[in-house]
Amino acid sequence: MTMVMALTISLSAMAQALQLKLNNVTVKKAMTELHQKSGYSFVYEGSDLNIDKTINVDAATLNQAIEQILSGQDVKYEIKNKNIVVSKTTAKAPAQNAKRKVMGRVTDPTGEAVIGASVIEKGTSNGVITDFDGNFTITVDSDSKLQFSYIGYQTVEQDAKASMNITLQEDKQVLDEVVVVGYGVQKKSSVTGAIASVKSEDLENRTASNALQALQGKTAGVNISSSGAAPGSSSTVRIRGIGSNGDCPPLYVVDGRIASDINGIDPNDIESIEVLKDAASAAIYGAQAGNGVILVTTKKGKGKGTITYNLQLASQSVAKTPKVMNSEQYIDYYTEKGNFSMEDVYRNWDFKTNTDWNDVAFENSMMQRHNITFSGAGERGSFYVSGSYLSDDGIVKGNKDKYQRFTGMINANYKVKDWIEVGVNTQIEYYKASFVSEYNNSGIYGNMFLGVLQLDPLTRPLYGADELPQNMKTILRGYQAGRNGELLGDRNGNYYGISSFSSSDNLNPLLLRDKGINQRRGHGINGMAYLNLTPTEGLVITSRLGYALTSYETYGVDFDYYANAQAFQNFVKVSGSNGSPASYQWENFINYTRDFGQHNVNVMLGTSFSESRTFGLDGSYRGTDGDLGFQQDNPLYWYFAYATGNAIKELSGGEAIFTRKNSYFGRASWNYADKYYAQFSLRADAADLSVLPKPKRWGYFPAVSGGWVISEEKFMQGTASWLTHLKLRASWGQNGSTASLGDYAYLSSIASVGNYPFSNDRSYTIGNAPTSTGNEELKWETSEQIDLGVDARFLRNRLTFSVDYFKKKTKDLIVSGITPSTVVGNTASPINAGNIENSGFEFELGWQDNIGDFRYGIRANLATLKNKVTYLHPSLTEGINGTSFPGYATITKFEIGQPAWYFYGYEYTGVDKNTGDPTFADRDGNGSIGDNDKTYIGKSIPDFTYGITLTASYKGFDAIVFGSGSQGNDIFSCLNREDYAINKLIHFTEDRWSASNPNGHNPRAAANEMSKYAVSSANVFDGSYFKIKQIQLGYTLPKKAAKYVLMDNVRAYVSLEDFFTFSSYVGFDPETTTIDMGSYPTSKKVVFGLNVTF
Amino acid sequence: MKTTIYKFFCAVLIVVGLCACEDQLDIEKHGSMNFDTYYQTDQEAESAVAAIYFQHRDIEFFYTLLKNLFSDDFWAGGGGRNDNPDLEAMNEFTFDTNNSYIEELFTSYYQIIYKANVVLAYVQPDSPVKQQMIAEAKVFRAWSYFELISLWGNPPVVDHPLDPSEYERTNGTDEELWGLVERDLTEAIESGHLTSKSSLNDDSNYRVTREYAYALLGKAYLWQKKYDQAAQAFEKVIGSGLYDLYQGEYNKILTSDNENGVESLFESNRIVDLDNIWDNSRFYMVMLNWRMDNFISVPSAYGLYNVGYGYCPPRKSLYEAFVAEEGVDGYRLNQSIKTFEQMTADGVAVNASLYTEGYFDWKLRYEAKDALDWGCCNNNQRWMRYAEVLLCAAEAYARTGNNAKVKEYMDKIRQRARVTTKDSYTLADVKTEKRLELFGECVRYQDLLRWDDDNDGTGALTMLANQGSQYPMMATNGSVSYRSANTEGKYGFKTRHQHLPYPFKEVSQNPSISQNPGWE
Repeated sequence: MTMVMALTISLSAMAQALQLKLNNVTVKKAMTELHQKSGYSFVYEGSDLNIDKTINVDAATLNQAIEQILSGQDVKYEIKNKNIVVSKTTAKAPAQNAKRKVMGRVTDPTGEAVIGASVIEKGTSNGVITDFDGNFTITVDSDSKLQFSYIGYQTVEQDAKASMNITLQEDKQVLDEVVVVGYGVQKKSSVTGAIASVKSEDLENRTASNALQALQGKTAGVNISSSGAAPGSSSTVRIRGIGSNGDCPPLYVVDGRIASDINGIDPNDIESIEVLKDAASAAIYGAQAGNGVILVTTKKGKGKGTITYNLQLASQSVAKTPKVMNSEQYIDYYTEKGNFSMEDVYRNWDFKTNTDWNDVAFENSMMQRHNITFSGAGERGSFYVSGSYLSDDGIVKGNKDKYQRFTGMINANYKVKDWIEVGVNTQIEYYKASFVSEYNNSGIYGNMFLGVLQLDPLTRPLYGADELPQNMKTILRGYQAGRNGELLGDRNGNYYGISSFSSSDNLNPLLLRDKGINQRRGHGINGMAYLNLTPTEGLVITSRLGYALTSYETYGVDFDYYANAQAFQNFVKVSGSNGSPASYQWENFINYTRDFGQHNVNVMLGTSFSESRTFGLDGSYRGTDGDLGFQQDNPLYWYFAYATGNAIKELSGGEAIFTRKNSYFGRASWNYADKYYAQFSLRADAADLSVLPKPKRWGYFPAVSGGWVISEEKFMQGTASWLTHLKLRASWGQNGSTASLGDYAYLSSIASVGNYPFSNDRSYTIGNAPTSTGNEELKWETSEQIDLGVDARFLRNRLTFSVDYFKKKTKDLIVSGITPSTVVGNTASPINAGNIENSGFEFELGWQDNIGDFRYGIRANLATLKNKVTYLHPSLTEGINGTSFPGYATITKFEIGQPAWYFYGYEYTGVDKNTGDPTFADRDGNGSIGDNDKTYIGKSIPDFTYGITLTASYKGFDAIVFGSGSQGNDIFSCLNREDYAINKLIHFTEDRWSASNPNGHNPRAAANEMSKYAVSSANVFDGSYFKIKQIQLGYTLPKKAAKYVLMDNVRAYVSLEDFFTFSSYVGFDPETTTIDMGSYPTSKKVVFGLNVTF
Repeated sequence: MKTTIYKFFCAVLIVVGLCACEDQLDIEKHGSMNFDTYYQTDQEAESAVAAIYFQHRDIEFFYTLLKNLFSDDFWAGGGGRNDNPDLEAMNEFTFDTNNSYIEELFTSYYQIIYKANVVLAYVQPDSPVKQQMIAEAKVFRAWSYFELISLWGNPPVVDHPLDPSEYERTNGTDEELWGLVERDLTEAIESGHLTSKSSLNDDSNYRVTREYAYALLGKAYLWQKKYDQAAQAFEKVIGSGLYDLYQGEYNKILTSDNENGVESLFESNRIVDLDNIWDNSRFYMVMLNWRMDNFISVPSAYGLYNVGYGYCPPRKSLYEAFVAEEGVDGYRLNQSIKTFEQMTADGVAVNASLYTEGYFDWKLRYEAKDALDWGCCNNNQRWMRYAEVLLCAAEAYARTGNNAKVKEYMDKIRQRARVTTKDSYTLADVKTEKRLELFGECVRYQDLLRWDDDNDGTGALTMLANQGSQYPMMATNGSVSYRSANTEGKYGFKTRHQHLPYPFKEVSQNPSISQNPGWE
C-alpha cells in the first residue's frame, strides 16, 4: 500500500506542467535552470553523474525535463519532497519513460516450448527466462528490442510488441562453433588444417567405458582398434595410418595437459574431442605430435544451476561363436591323422560327451553405470562437479573379468578481477580390474579363449571325484601321494576336466580362469590449474600447471596345479607390484589478438617444461619344487608375509626414472575479411639424455597453412542460393615422434650381462660388457605431411561436405634390435633406418532436415589409406621381422615397397589331388618350396574405413542408428596348429582330401608340409566387416509431464550395441582381430538408459 | 596504480617462467659405466672375461639340439609330428637358410668372439691377472672359430671389435681361420698364464685351463689332418696326470654327483642358489627329458624330474651299434639307454603314442634332485671329457700307425665300459668306440662331416643319407610303426650339407659374404 501511495505522489509531481527549453548547455547548467523554475533540487554523488556533458532540453513537464537532463547517463532518480535523488542504476528503473509489458511464448520449430530461453531487452541487463510452457512476461522500454536466445539455437532479435510468439531456429551455423586447437581456440570457420571435432552427443549414452572407443567410426581417418574387448581394456588409435615401424600412438592432451591416456575420464564428462590430423595443426606440439594429436576438452558449467543423472544398464553376451568340430568330427579327424586310435577313444570317452566350450566359458553379464553432475555458471565464473560409477562384469562366467571405476571431475573458474581469471580442471579416477588370460597378457599359451576354441569336445567341463578319466586319476593319485600337482576344481568336489587326447597349454577354460588371480587397481588425480591475465585488451597471458599424480598396484597369485606336461605348476607364486608415476608440466604463453581494419592478427608465443618420474617395486615369492612356498595352501596365506623360509623371492624396481622435456613454441595467424587465412607455427623441443645424445637433443618443427573462403568472393554471389559456404584449405608441416626412443638406446656403455660362479660357493663374478655398439647420430623420427581440403555447405546449410587429401611421409624411422651383420657380435644400437608413407582421402558428408515434426539427419564418413614403406637402410633389404606364429615362423614383415607389417608366408595353391598334401606357389621356380618362395599374402591395413550415423526424431521420440566398417584388411588366423590334437575350426577340416574324397579342398589329416601350410595364405582371411554398433531408441517426456515429477527433462532409451556384424571371418570378431591368437571377444549388448535433469 | 603493479608483477613471473632450464635435461644413466674409462683394473678385466663365460654357457640350448639332431643317433621327437618343425627339418635335412637354430648358433659364436675381442682390444697385459684374462679370452675365441670352421667352412674372420665401416666381412680363408685358432691357443698356452688343476682330484677349477687349450689345439690339428701334431697336443693333456677316467657307475658320468670330476676338462658351472634360479636355466634338459605327461607311472627309483618334452629320443640304429659291440646286456649300453621293454618290466606304462622307437636316453637325464624349477637345473654342462681326449688321440695314432698307443687308449675306454678289449684296433673300431662312448655329447655330427673324407662309408653322406624318409610312432603297447615324413627325394644329407648355410639374415645383410655351395 505504501508503494502505491509513493507512486501516486511521484506521478503527480512528474505530471506537473513546466516549460524548459535549453540549447547546448551543460548538465550542471540545466540543473540550475530547473531548480530556479520548479524549486526541485538535484541530489547526487559526484561519481554517478557526468555534469559537464552538453545537452539540449525541450520539456513540457517536470519529468520530461528531468529525463532529458539525465538522458544518456546510467542513472535512475527518485523524487523525495523537493529533491530529485539521482543514483547509479544497474537495472534501469522500470515504469519510467514509456514502459510496456510484453508477453509471449518461445517455441522450437516443432512447436515444443523452449524452457529456460533467455529474453533480454537489448543493451540492458533487463531480462527474464521462459517458464515451463515457454511463456514469458517482461516490462521494457516501449522502443526497445528484445533478444531471444537459447543454447543450440540461433538468437532472434525483434522489436518489442505487446504479444510476441517466437520460434527459435536451431543453430546450424556449425562454422561458428569454436574448435579447440593447441594453446588456444579458433572459430571453425577460420581453421586451415584438418581438425575433426566430435561433440559430446556422440560420446554420451554409449556403453564404451573409454571415450576413444566411442570415437571409432565417427570421424574419417581416425582408426580405433583394440586387440581384445575385456572390460576396461584400452584401445589403439591410429591417425592417418601407420607412421612408424615402432609404436605410433597419438598425443593426448586433456584441457591442455599432456596425458598418457584418457582411460580415467568418463565419456559423459567430455565436452568435445578434437583430432588434429594434419601436420600443421599438430605441429604446435612438435616432437610428440608425429602421429596426430587428440585434444580432449572436459565440460564446464553453463547457465542456471542444473543437476543431471544418467543411468545405464546393459546386458552383455558373446556376439559370435566360431564353429569348431564336434565330438564325432574331432574323433574322425584325429584318428585319421593318427594322433590316437579308436581304442584310445573307447578307453577315454563316454560316448556321449560333446562339450561346447563356448557355453562353458561365457554367460550373460551385466554392466551398469551411474553418472551425476552438478553445474552452473554466473557472470564471473562457473563450476562443474561430477561423479560416476561403472561396473562391468565381462562375459566370462564368474567375476574374474570385472572392471570397476569411479571417476570424478571438478572444473571451476572465476574472474577474480576483471583482468585475472583463475581456474582448475581436475579429473579423479579410481579403478580396479581383474582379468583372465588372453593373448594380450598370456600370449598363445595358457590362453583362455584359445582354450575355448582348441580344447576337444570329448572332455567334460567338470568331473565328480568318482568319475574321473584315467589321466585325471593318475594326477590325483600323484597329488595324494606327494602333495604335488594339484587337480583344480570347483571346490564343490568336482574337478575341471583335463583332456585325455591333447596335452596343449590351452586347457579347460574354467581351469585357465581359476588357476590364478590377476588384479590391478589404481587411482589418479590429474588436472590443470591455470591463470589467465588480460592486462590490456586483446592480450591474454596464460600460466598453467598440469599435474598427473597416479598410483597403481597389482596382485597376482598362480596356484599349484597339474594338467599335463605343458601346463602345471608345483608351487604357489604370489606377485605384487606398486608404483606411483607422477608428472607435472608448466606452460606459459601469451596470445595477442588485434584487428587492423579488415585484417585480423593473432600471435601466440610460449614455453613448456615437463617432468615425469616413475618409481615402483615389483616382487614375487614362490615355492621351490616340493615346497609350495606358502605356509598353507589357502587364500588367507597368499601374501608375502606368509611365505615359507625356502620360498624364492624376486624383487625389481626401486629406481626412480625421470624424463624431462623443454620446449618453445609460437604461432602467428592472419585473416583478411574472413576470406583469406594464413597461419605459421614453429616449435622447438629438447629431449633429455635418456632419449637422445646431447648434440641431437633439439628438434625444430615448422608448419604453414592457408585457407580461402571462395564463397565470400564477389564473383560467387550468383551461387549463394544453393552454395552457402565454400572454403579451400592447404597445409604443410613437420612433426616428430619419440615413441621408439628412450632408455639411453643410443649410448654404448658398460653394463652387466650376467653373473658367473667360478666356484661352488654362492659367489659370483659380475660379467660386464659393452651394452651395444652405440649410435651418437641418433635423431627423432620426423613426419612431414601435406593436406589439401575443401569444406562446403549447400542448400541452406542442410548439406555439408568436406574432403581432405593427405600425404604423410615419416622419415628416419628408428629401428631397434637390428643386427647390421650377425658377425658383429653385439646388439646394434637403434639407427634411423627407414621411411614410410601414408596417403589417402577423407570424406565427411552430412544432411539435416525436417519434414514437419519429423527431423532427421545423416552423417557419413569414409577414409581411404595407402601405406607403403619407401626406404630401409641397405642392411635391412630383407625387411624387419615382426610377429611370429609361435612354433612356426615370422608372419609379419616391415619391408620396402610393402604396407607396414604385411603378412608374409607361402602362397597356398590348393591340395595336391594325388597325395592330399598342401601345395604352394614355387615362386623361385627351383622345384622345391623354401624361404625364397615366401611372399606377400595379405595386410592388416584396410583400403578404406567408414562410418554412418542416422538420427531421427519425432515429437518426444528419437532414434540413432550407427554403424562402422572397414574394407580390404586381412586377418591372419593362428588358430590352426598342427601340434597336439587340438580342436580346430571346421573351416580347416571339413571337405578334406581323402582317398575317397580326392577333390576335397582341405589337406588330408596328417598331410606333409603342414608347417608350411600354417604360415601360408590358407590362414589369411578377408577381415572386411560392417558392424551396426548402435541402434538406440529414446523417448523424452513432454515438459509438462516432467514438471509433474519435479524434473526439467526426462529421457529414457533402449539400445542395441555391437549387435549385428557382417563379415566372412571364421573366428570370433573381425573388429578386434588382425592376427588371431585368441583375444577376448566383443560382446553384444542390450542397453537400458535414463537421462534426468533437475 | 595498485593494479598496474600487480599486472607488472605477474608479467615478470611469467617471463621468468619462459626461461626454462636446459641443464635439467642432463639426466645421467643408472647402472652403467663409461666405455672410455673401463678395462683398466684387474677386476675390470676379470669382469670382462666373466661375461665371456656367461655368454658361452648360454649357447648350450642351440649347440646341443643342433648337434644331436644333425647326427644319426637321435630322432626329433617331442609331443608329436610338427611339435617343433625346425627340429624336424634339422633331423631330416629339409631345413633351409632361415632355420632359427642355425642362425642362433652362428650368431652366438660371434657374440662370444666379440666379448673375447673386447678383452683383447682393451685390456693391457700389464699384470699377471690381466695376462691370464687375455689368455682365457684367446681360448674362447679359438673354440668359437673351431666350431664355426667345422660347421660352416669359411666364416668371416673377426679378430677385433668392428667399426661400422667394417661390418660387411668377406669369408675367411682356411689359412687365416686355422691360423687364428692355432695362434690363439698356442699363445694362450705359451703365455704361461692359463691355470691348471692342482692335482687329479682338484674339482675347484672352473676356468679354461692350459690342458683344455691343448685338447682344443689337438682337435684343431685332427680336423686339419695334422695327426702327429694332434697326437702331441693330446699327449700334453694325458701326460699331465691331472685327468683320468671316472671309475664310478658309468651312468653317473654326466650327473650332478660327479661335477668337475677327474674326467672333466671343462664345465660351465651352475650352483644351487634359490634366489637366482633363472641363472641356471637349462631348458635343454626339459626338451630332452622324457615326455613325462604321457607316462602313467615312472618308478621313483628312476629319480627323474616329472616334466619333459621328449625331444631327441635315441634311434634304434644307435642301440643296434651298441648291441653289436657289447650285446644287449652290455654294461655301458644299459647305463646309456633304456629300452621300453626294460622300462615296462620296471612298471612303466604310457597313455599315449610317443614319437620314439622305444629307446630312451639314460646317460644324460634330468634328475628331480637337480630341478630348481621348470627349466632350471643346477647340473653342469660338460664341454669335454677326458674320454674324448683319449679317443681323439687314439684316432690320431690309428691314422699314423702307432697301434700300441691306439690299443693303450682304446683298452682304457673299453675296460671302464666293461667291454672286452681287443688285441688290436682298426680306425673303424676307434670310430665306433667314439660313437658309443660319447653318444649324446655333441661330437658325433662333426666327426661324421670329417669322416666323409675317408671314403669308407663312415661319413655323413652315407650315414645320414636316408634321414627324413620316415618317422616312428610307438603305440602304448610298445609297437612301433613308421610314417612317411617327407616327399620322396626331398630329405636326407646331400653334398651341400657338408657345410651349413650362412644364415639368411647374414647373407641378406652382407653382400660381401659368399654363401656355401648349394645354398645360394
